[in-house]
Amino acid sequence: MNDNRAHQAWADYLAGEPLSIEDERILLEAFQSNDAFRQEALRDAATDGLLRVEATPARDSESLIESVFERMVAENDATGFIKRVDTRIDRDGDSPRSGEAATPRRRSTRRRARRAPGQGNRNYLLPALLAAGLLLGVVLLLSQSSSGPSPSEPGRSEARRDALRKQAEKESVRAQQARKEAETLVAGLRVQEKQAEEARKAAEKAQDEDLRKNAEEAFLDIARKRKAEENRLKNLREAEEAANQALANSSAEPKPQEKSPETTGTRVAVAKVESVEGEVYIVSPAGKATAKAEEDLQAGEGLEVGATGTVVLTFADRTRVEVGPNAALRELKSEGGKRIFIAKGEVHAAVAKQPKEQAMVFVTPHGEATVLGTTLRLVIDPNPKEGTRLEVTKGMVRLKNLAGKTVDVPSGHFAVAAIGTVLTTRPIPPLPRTRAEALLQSHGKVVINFGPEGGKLPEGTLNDSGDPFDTGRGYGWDLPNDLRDFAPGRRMNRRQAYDKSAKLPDDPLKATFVRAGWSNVVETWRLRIPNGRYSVTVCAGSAANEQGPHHVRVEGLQVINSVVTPAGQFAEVKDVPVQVTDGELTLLVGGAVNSRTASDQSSDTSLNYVIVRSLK
Amino acid sequence: MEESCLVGEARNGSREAFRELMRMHQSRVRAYVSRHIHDRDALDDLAQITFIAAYRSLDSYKPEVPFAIWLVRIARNRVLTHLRDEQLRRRHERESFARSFINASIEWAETEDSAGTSPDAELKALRGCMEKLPPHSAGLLREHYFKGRKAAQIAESTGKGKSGVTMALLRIRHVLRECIESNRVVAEAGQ
Repeated sequence: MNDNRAHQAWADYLAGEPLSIEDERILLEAFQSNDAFRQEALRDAATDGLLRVEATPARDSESLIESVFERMVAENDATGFIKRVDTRIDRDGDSPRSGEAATPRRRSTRRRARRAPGQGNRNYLLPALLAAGLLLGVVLLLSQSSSGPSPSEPGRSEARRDALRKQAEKESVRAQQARKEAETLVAGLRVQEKQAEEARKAAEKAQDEDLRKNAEEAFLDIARKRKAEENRLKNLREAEEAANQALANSSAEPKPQEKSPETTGTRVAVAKVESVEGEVYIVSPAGKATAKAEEDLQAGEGLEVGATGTVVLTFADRTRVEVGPNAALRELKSEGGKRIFIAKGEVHAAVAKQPKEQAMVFVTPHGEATVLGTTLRLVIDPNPKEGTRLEVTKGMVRLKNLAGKTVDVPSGHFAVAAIGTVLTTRPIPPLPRTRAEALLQSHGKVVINFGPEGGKLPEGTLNDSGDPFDTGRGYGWDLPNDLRDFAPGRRMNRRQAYDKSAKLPDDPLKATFVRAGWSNVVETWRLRIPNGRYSVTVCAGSAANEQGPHHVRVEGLQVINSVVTPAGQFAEVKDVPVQVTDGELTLLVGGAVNSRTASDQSSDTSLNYVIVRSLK
Repeated sequence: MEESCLVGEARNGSREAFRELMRMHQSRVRAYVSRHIHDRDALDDLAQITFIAAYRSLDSYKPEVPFAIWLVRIARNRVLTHLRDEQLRRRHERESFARSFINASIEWAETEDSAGTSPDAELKALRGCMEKLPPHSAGLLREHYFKGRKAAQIAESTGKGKSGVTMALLRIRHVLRECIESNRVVAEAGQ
């Protein structure tokens, strides 16, 4: 385990910095397997928490105190609202209580804290409570309005419907008003936030430390208020939607013999939303609605999952489908076998054993996967050249592409249905251990530039500045990069990095190099990659000076043999096929003892870059 | 006014008395919650919930238990509820560090003796330890915690790498923790 890297990842995590997949993996491994590391991390997190509390401005502490009482008042308000609706329903209800006249309960006088929405409210749950109270009242109204009238008391039912409609109207107007006020407030806060940001930027240029600090605090304060109000607005919008629905329901003429689908449960659900995180919507012909846990999905409905959303669906037979971010599912069906169309995104499915004639089918724009009972992963890229990738963890899945060709993908294998790709199965590669392996998997190649750190390189290019091999990084040189006598009176690192980008600004890969393997020493460079067939491209030379003789072997094959390159010219050998059998690609640099061209008959290689491509 | 009087008045319905109690103990409650909860909104929320629960349970408070410890016990219960809700919410996620961290936090909160923790004393010790930091370290803490600047922003203005900034913060916290711990040992030895 790379301790340093685990500590770095922890430091980044606690500072709120995003972690790469590899760093998270290293951190998780360290946290789970190293007890001392875990305890240290927990204590460090506690210290971090103490610092955050210490950094809380005094005025935030006062507003915490005020928020406690505001919240209690709001909770009482919400409870009081529900009680009032309940009272009304009891009063106007069908069956008087036995032995009692159905007289209305006295409403207790209650002092309400009347506030303009959002003022003095720093708690993001407080507005949710208000909205929840409103919503719950609306739900009660909905449940009352949807039940059929008693045929034996039409007059009474009419009065009750009328009362409910008036109540629903009031709630709808109130919800709309609250939403409009919140929108105005949010708009105002956004303007204030922008002004505060400008003030902060202006203050940063000033010499006065206090001015800078105050401007920073003011900006952060406004930003927090704006976020809290936006959350509140979101809740109020949902409450308004529910209130309007309740009004619509209460205004509709009741059909005496008709019962609502919710009360009879006659609609057949295809699946249930087991859990939801982030932005997830149920899409139907009627429109889009926020998905909620425990909600049923009907036949023909679909799902849209936002950038940070995930959702889990379960079916009656315990088939489970996890849908990841940026996904779109359409037209769920269950009659004659479950069928889901996945337009894009990633799903993981654990499919219960299906009846033979009713296999579960995942349809994508590039093909379809028929599942009888298995655990699988599907990745659908809208780009038809990337297509649909199916990985089978357990069982067997048949994948069909648009040309009608099929392949049975067994456990531990994957296949891709895409334009220009042969439909065949391959073993699922192991999880990448290093960034180099991750690049190889995702891009099919890894590019490693040789030169000083910190240069501007194309995206996805790794850099080697002559450092020893590092298991976390997955590549490097065998010996420490110590100083050696290059010539009388001159010492040099074994591997010296150079930047000649001034001479070659447009080709960053050739603009730098690491000089190695001089004075008859063979330097070994290793790259950890899975066994398999690869093609390797190597380049040596300098943009500024004559260099060489360059001498490089790749997996034992001499690819550059004592070549001297004039300034600005390079010895570039492309796409050398090699077979890696020991988990490492090895380059031997230097060691040409009988070089034809060097005065001391030794080589002196200036390595620019290496590109390693997977050969399928 | 003495704490016992304030508690008595609060039990009789005096909001002002309870406000005063909150002023006296809010940093203690926040400090305890912050040991386990690192999201700022959740921290504020749990602190509020703790005080609301305390206000509503004043009738059941027994004066034999110090009020501070009683509050911290309520805070601990609320923290555990929150963490368990998070654990439940993430139960379908693939294994991630965040999930693992929540599980470990629950275990830690369950096993530590809340009566034995003194978050208030830790805060006081922290202040003393921060004063002993060299100027550069104190400046880095100020930028990140007090001004809310992210590591990338600090790196840009100081010319350090982002990783260097986060590691520096880690080392400073380690120094502070050792200082707080040694202050605690000295304080206990002196009792």
